[in-house]
Amino acid sequence: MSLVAVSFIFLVVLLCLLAPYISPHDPFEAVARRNTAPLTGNVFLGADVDGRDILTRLLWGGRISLITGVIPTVLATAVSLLIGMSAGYVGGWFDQLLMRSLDIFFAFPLVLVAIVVAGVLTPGLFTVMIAIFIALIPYIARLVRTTTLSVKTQPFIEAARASGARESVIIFRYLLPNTVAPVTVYATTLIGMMMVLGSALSFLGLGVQPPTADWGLMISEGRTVLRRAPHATIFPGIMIVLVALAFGFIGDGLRDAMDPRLRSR
Amino acid sequence: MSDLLTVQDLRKVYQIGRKGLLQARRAVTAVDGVSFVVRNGETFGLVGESGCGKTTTARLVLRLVEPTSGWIGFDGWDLLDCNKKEMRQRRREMQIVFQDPMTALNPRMSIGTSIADTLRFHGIGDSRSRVEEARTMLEVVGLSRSHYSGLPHEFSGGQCQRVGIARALILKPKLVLLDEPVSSLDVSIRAQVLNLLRTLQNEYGLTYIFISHDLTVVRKFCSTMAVLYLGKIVEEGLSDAVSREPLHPYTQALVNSVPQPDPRAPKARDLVGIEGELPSALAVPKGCRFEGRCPHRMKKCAEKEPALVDLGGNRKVACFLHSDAEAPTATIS
Amino acid sequence: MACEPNVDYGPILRVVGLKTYFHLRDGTLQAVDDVSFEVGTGKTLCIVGESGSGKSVTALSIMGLIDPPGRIEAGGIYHHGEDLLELQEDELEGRIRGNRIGMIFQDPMSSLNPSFTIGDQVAEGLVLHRGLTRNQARQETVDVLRLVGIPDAEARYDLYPHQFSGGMRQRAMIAAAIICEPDLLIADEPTTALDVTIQAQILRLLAELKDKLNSSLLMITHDLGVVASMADDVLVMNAGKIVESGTVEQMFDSPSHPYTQGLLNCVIDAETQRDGSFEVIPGVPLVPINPGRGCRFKDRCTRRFARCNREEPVLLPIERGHYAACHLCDSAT
Repeated sequence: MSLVAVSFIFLVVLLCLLAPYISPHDPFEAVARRNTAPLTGNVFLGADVDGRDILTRLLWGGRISLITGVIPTVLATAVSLLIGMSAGYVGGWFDQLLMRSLDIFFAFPLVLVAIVVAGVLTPGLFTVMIAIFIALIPYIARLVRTTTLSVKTQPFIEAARASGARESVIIFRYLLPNTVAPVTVYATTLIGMMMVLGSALSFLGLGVQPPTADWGLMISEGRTVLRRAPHATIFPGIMIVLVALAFGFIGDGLRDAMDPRLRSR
Repeated sequence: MSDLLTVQDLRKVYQIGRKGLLQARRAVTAVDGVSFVVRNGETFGLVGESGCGKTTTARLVLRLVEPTSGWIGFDGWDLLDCNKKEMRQRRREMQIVFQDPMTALNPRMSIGTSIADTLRFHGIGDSRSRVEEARTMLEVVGLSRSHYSGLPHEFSGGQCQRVGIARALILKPKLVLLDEPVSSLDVSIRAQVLNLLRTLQNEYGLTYIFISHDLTVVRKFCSTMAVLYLGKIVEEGLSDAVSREPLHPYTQALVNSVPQPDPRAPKARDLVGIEGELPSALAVPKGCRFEGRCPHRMKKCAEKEPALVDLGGNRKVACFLHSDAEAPTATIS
Repeated sequence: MACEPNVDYGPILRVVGLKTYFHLRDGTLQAVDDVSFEVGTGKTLCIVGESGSGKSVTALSIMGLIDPPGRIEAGGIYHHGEDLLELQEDELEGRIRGNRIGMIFQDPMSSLNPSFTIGDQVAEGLVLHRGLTRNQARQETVDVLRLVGIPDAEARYDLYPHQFSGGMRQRAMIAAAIICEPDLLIADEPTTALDVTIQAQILRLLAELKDKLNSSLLMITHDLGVVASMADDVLVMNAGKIVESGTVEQMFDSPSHPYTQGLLNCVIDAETQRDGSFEVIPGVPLVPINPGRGCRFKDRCTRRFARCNREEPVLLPIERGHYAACHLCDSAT
């Protein structure tokens, strides 16, 4: 299943990258009558409320949506590893200070935090990424910390110390690989969710602005003509769902692949 | 034989959380004034049940846990006086084999790398010579060179314990602490690992500290042994003599509690054990620590604590049945 | 079959041709393969073996606790002549398990629910099987807690598992197992997690309770000392098969299967061997995933011959009540 998911994501990424070359029309230009139904004339998936080709906009919008999903998650994971591992490894008041400050974020839903950040900054792609990045850190850092705490007490850490390993060696060679694995799995499943969140921010007008193509924005625009032209909403919706699902499956697959017990020689 | 390790009045006090805001922090004394000497080339057994402090003692000796007070002399060094760098140097000469062989190995690292890493920590050789030496070590402990790249979960408990032994011995240490090295293994595998340890000891001239709850194994594997109860040594001596003729009532209870593999030995319902359980380390009895469970207790036992007295012939015991000497009152900081 | 029905007593439990397989990715694990035996009324049967021998799976099969990927492929488990394998899960739960058959597990901490009081969990059987309310059951439960040697039972009724020591938790587990006065107790390594002095107490308690309740005991263990002190009859299992069965005297006095002999040699008293080495069984226990032809012990056996590779030995009588599955014991060879 995860193999199918990986191929699917690969395909989507490839198509989006090639958007300038393979898309049938210009993403900003009206090429058909407003709300043209799919499979009519020159528009395979129909046209939106402004008469722009939906297939073209899906290809272009995928670039933005994928970027909002992947980049902040990757960055947040890296920062969280730093925060969570130092909190978990050092422990004591340092741990308390770091984790309690992050706990403040838990008082607000993830979306709300993102909305506040996006609201403070000027709307745009960069803002969406910053918002998601900040909103994610407490969640991932908390997982990193608990994982670090449990790995830290494993006998093999003590064994390395008893053999004469330096603290830095213990952290980077013994602790890190055993912490990164479960966190990577978690982060992968988050990518899909973050795409949805990014789309939601765009939908709310806090993210990328029209006429830029973005899957969330496309849903937002299609909503006004939901009854007359449901396809304008359905297709980007399907894409978000499929990509989010696919990342979830990849996360599952990664968990299996990264578990040394399930890996055979 | 010369002394390799001297432990004097070793003490470890753990501060644990307070019960109420106004109450003082509570202290648990895991190891309470333990002293012993391990001679070059011998196997010294530390015996006791869970909570007696035997594992903590091992970690204190290696300074994996910092002692609260005491003195540890190892091969001419004052261990507690060593700084971080000096301590890492000493670790080349004192290694440990852990109880659970699986979790003592990094699950994401090949067993060969785990062994070779010990050399790497001390900057010995280049990566190729380290791999070669680890492969040789695998053969020494009865595995094959080709096992190098296998991951821990692909091996059985007994095989992982051999890896643990290889990792400890690759630095050619002087002292090896064996922390219940066979108690998680099957009966038939246990004997294989013990024989291996014995062979390696003769080959490399190793000194062992063997930590165990199993008197039967200790009796046969160790030359000397000390019995711990609630953080104190209650009896010490040549292991054969101690297990054949235990003097302390607790040692007697330990010996008598082990069911014998003989259908004509006393049956379970006739086993002469002892009543009661280990008291909480938070509420250590004032007098002798064993007083509450002792079948021979006297009035004095509840008030005074017996000292560990040398009876001659390498035998020491802390019991008023054998000597009137009292322990100096311990002061806990 | 393993034990002929003896004239002195009828069997309370008869297991016939039990096959429990686990369908894994790597193949079929024949955890229990064609195992037959009986537990006589008022008797104690010990099943001995190393890890992976199928001893615990046998116990779980009897209790109907085999979950996928495990499956009971064939056989019958007759309790008072009634085939438990024919019963529906709710009937097994409502009428047999915890009522007629009591169960005690190795690790009392994980078998007790941490969020209910000890008393409520011990009383569970009375509530479930006799339809009492917890209040009605309380007095009887306190009596049973007292019976298993829990001091101050009335007050301890309302404590939670974490407030009990390991030994006390095992006593509570035993109380829960016997509260409905079952005629068969199944204990899977009941003392493995305990210290020796506590083990002696628990073994004595089990032996006394068995007499008091007039019930039978099926005990799973790897410890031959425990076997000798508890068992009337013994089954030795290896790689899913019974290799030898008989009375405890037959097993210890004249072990016939090389595996039984090897196991006994591994634990034989320190007195008898003076050269300091330990007797071993070479190799590691076979994991019966798609086992090949022939005897499942042949790779570890020092006395194997051509026939062992070709043909799987079956249990054959050696003397009255004593059976072994080994070509060496087959008078035809």
